[in-house]
Amino acid sequence: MRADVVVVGAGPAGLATAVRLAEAGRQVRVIARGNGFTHWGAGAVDALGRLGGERVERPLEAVGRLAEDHPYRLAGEAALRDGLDWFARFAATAGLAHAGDPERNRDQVTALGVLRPTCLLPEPAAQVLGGRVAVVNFEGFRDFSPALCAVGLRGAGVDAVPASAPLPPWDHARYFSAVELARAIDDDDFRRRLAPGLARAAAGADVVVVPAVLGVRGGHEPWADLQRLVGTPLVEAATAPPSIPGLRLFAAYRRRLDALGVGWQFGFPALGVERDGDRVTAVRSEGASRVVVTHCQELVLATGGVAGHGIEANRDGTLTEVVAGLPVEGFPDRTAFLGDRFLGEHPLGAAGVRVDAELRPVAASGDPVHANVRCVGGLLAGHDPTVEGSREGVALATATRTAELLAPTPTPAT
Amino acid sequence: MLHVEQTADRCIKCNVCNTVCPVSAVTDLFPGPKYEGPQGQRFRAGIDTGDSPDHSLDYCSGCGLCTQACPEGVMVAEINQVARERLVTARGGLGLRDKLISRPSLMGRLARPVAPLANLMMAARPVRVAVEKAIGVHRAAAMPRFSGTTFRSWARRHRQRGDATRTVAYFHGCAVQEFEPEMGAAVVRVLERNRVRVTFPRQACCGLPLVSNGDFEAGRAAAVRLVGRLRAAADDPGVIVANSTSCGMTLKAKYRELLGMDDAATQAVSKAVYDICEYLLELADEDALDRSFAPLRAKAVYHPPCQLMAHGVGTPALDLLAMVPGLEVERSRAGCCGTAGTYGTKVEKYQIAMDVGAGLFEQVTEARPDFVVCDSETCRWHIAKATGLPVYHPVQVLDRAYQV
Amino acid sequence: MTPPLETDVVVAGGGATGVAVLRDLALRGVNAVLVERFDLGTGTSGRWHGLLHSGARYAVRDQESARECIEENTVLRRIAPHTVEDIGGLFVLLPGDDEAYAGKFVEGCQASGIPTEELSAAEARRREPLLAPAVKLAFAVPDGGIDSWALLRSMAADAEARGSRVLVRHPVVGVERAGDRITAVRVHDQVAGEDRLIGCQWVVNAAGAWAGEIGRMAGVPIRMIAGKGVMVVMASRYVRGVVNACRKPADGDIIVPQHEVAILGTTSVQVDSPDDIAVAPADVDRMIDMCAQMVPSLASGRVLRAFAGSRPLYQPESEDGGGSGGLKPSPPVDQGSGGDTREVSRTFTVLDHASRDGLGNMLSIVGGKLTTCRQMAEALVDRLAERMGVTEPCRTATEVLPGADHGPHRLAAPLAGVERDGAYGELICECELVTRGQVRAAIADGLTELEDLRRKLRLGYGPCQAAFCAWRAAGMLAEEGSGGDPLAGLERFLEERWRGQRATIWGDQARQALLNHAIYRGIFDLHGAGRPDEAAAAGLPRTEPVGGG
Repeated sequence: MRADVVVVGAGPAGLATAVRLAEAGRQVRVIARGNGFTHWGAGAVDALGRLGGERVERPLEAVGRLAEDHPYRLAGEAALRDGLDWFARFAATAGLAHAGDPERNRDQVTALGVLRPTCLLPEPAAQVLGGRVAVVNFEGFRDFSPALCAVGLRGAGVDAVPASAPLPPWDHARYFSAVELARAIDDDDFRRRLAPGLARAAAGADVVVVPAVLGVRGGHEPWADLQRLVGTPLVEAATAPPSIPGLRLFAAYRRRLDALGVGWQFGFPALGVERDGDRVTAVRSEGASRVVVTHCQELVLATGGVAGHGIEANRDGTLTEVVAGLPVEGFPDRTAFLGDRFLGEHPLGAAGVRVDAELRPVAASGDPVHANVRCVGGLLAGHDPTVEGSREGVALATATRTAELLAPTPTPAT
Repeated sequence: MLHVEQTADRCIKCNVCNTVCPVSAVTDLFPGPKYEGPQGQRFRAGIDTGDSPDHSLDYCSGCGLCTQACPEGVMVAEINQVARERLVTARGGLGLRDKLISRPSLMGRLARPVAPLANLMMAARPVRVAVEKAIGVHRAAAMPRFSGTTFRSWARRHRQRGDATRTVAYFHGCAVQEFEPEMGAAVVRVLERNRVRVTFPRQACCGLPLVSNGDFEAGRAAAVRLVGRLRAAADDPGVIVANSTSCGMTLKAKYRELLGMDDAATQAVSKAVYDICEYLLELADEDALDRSFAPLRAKAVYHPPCQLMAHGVGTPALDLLAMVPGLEVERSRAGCCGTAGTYGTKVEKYQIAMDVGAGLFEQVTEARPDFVVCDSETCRWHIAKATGLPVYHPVQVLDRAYQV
Repeated sequence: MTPPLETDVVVAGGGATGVAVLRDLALRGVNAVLVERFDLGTGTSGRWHGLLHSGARYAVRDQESARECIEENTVLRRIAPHTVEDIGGLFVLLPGDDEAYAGKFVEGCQASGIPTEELSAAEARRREPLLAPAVKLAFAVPDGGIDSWALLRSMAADAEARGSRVLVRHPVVGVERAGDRITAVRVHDQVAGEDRLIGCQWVVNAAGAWAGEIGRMAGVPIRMIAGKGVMVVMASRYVRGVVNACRKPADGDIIVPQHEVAILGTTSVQVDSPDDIAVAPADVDRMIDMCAQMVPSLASGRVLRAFAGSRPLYQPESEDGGGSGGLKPSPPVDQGSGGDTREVSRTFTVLDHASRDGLGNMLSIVGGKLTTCRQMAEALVDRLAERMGVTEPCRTATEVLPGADHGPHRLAAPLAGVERDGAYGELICECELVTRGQVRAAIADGLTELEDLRRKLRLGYGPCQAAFCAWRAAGMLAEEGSGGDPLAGLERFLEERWRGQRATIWGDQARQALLNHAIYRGIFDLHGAGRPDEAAAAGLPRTEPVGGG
């Protein structure tokens, strides 16, 4: 198998990198062991939510206050700006318009009623809460509790009232999760039968908060249609995985990758690389009975940190980067992996590969390990995407920078 | 406990598998791969005697999309298949229908002397209704046409033209042998066009339908027999090509994963197996593929079977079809066409199979292609029946483009 | 202050022994109140490996213990089959093991009345496919698994149905004495936040490893040695039945399957306090490495958590054992902190403080093991009944417990139940197959804390460590309006589950922990600090001691 650029990883960073590289004119192949944080996130684009535990109001402005080994400092503020801008256009073209302004964070409603800081929100989650808010679950859906959400919202000063809307008779009454419910809401007939019950549950409210299940295949159209039918603004609250907004985005990325002719090898992890001097010449990935060798000119690792399975946390406290064995700083023993409070901070979440300003992994000396390897996204050291609320922003900034660095040099016209 | 069962340990309950399962998407009789696979496994663990507790497990189609989507390496579909075998054993083995449909080469051999009559009957509604009532094969399920001659009889008479720089052994499988010898002929022609000599080692059914229906004992017997017959070819010529992506997958991985066959002979055979498109693309990578395809001005929808994706080589057919001038190929957005081998032929599963395939059929309708392309034979028959369009293996398209 | 309670007997301690005593008293028609500082089974009874002893482990060195075990093994299977997993056990001989010990093992079992069957290596591996190829031969014994919380709940329910009272979250804070008798026991009602007096005629000290503290409050010296044992919980079951190493008891020589997990055990170190339940990574590594000699795939397996508990070992004051009733222990060995406590006898002792200390109406029961809890209670209550003039004989060995008609617990039972009812859509805790209906019923029964749901229903017990079920259940608690701040309760529960996990997180479990963190902190933005905690304000304590579990 031959490719020009191989991107390993199909999470937020891998997908954005693959698309931007292909748009820039490279021939890209994606190798990934499976899905990742598109499916596990809040369905928003976090740029920088918290710094030193404090909520950030102006993410772009706060970049200057980050340590110099932070991915934003390495990729450059311009890459973050451009990445967010590109994403907003890409998403809008795909029918997933986002609201928000990189200059200022905004609130996202979550299923626990807590308002989390984020930068860009898909339209179905973007309505600002005000006045009387009805918090409505779809009867039988286990992953949303209006009472719990209302407690949280009231704690944030919102006048929230819990309610429940019945589901019309359908073929998944015995068992459904967010995915089945979202698919049902894709159907316009189901929405017409659902709307009256939802409207009744929302009676008198200025805004209705519902779990993020309003369709998965039709972009934002199911949400928009349901909102019209109900006659009151609907806000999707972020729930636990699987992220339905994340699935919408993933589908949009897949369509774009197909349209760009990007090769897609999914479900099998990259196991190693082949080298010639300081260049990586091929990626070795698991196949059904043999290792599959994909020759490449450039390699981009978007494998996520420990959470993304790009770094293995070993029993003895050491860390291993799983594809190319890149240097990763480990810990003296495994008790240092994690903080003593679950909801506190965990050093393992910030662990990663150190890179230079061109996103090339570096050895302890500071020299790049390979001439043609870049790292993007959660794999990078110097940040904890969960704690600082920066996962999608780092993905986009580093994807943008990589595409800049690897864009083909223009050839003279012949 | 097999290795695949131990992969249940890796599950972090992230729900990714549940987002891709085509069966739980269309029926609530199946609560999804997370429940059925790593979650249920902790309660089965192969230790209780007596009835297996599972009913819902039976609805898993074995498409394997869950295993592919899982970021942690849980072999969800394989866990389900092993659990199904225990379920079947606890119930006393396969029923008559499953015994029959798991033996395609037997069915083919029985029907061959009267193939035209058999085909007429299998197309006749009253006969199909009677068959449905008698053994539970759905009256509308796609059935292949029995062939009056076998592929091997064609191969025996075939003389290769031109020289050859390489040799491969051809594992044609039951479908080509009994139902679609012309498909096999296309494979041979395309290989020979690329100066590859084709040998036809003695072979037999790979046993996949037995394994996927839950009869591991009979499946293992078939596996051992086939490995024995292909063993020599694994060394010389060292490459065994297969056009059936599911049978190829069985040889590559299922003997090891599901039947626990880790002996040297099985390993040698597994490592030598290539999907035909995988092999042709490797030739292309080495600049050894004849790219003088005549233009085919047509539009096609290409559906990669779930079993092809499980090979881990991506979709080589797309790269090959892209070499045919004038051919416009739209890629299917569906992960599974629904039939999952024999699953969709069963009366209690047919509607599920049709509902799973609905998205693909809709895409085909909207795209208005001249034909559909798909690597797996059971998928081809299912899609052809549902769309009314001709459905070809990618190699048949290449063969056509070479011939013109 | 609430009006004082009056009863005949106060039983201090809600572990297996205390609850067994309560039940025995109830069956003999004696009024009693049991008081417990946390919840039933939060002491040693909730911090052990769940082995229903066949006694074979004592067959070589302590045949009295062995005989007690096999007798009670049979009794428990009769009266509480629903708490028992009928799985058998193996003692396996590995290369390097002393073959002479195997001979003594068989003899000892015979002498103690424990049926054994010798299995060849092949037979052993048929029974336990994951057994190390190096295993040379094995002996099958009637070990089993027992769910101590289910046993305690059953016994307590039986006692309460007969008029006894169980007061959890009521630690003993003192006694009132008049001369040589205790007239009342003072407890602190944690929920109401005030003290309470319980007037009584007799006191039973069944506080297990904490018996010394009760003794101190009563003014009598009881020297307890805390013998800490560490156990490691694997995420899946690995073995059908119990697997023991056939050698002199040492660290890491037992694997006990319990429901869907396997528990590797154990160590034996004297520590200063039974509340010391910290687990060091080296202990975890040692358990895995030792047990992997018997089942190699443990070495690459996923660890769920580790915990520690203290054996309630009694050190008599003098040679004669310091009291009547029960069996004489072997000579005490107090090696100070860090010493190996395996040499201290595991049989039990009844202390009659009248003759021993001049305190006329208190008895203590110390030592022992969970398998013999009923027998221990019988010995103590026989003694107490004699003193009280109660002539009803003990019936606890023959009266079956509520729930016994369900028969022995089968691993697949929860899955079979969900399949039978088609209840896939009702699952709140998916790892442990806990349904919405079960959670609702538990809340209706008065459970208000997620931790209680965990103990009663196994909610959050599984590999994902409550990633999803914690907030689902918190939602249900909020729906039922169960008082308190549900978000604070959720945070509290998550932190409780987190304690002690740092020694066991790497590989798969590290990914799980980071995903869980990404959910609760990343999506839900919970920080766990600075949230008004109504429960803390109400003085509600942690439900369990710090350190793990």
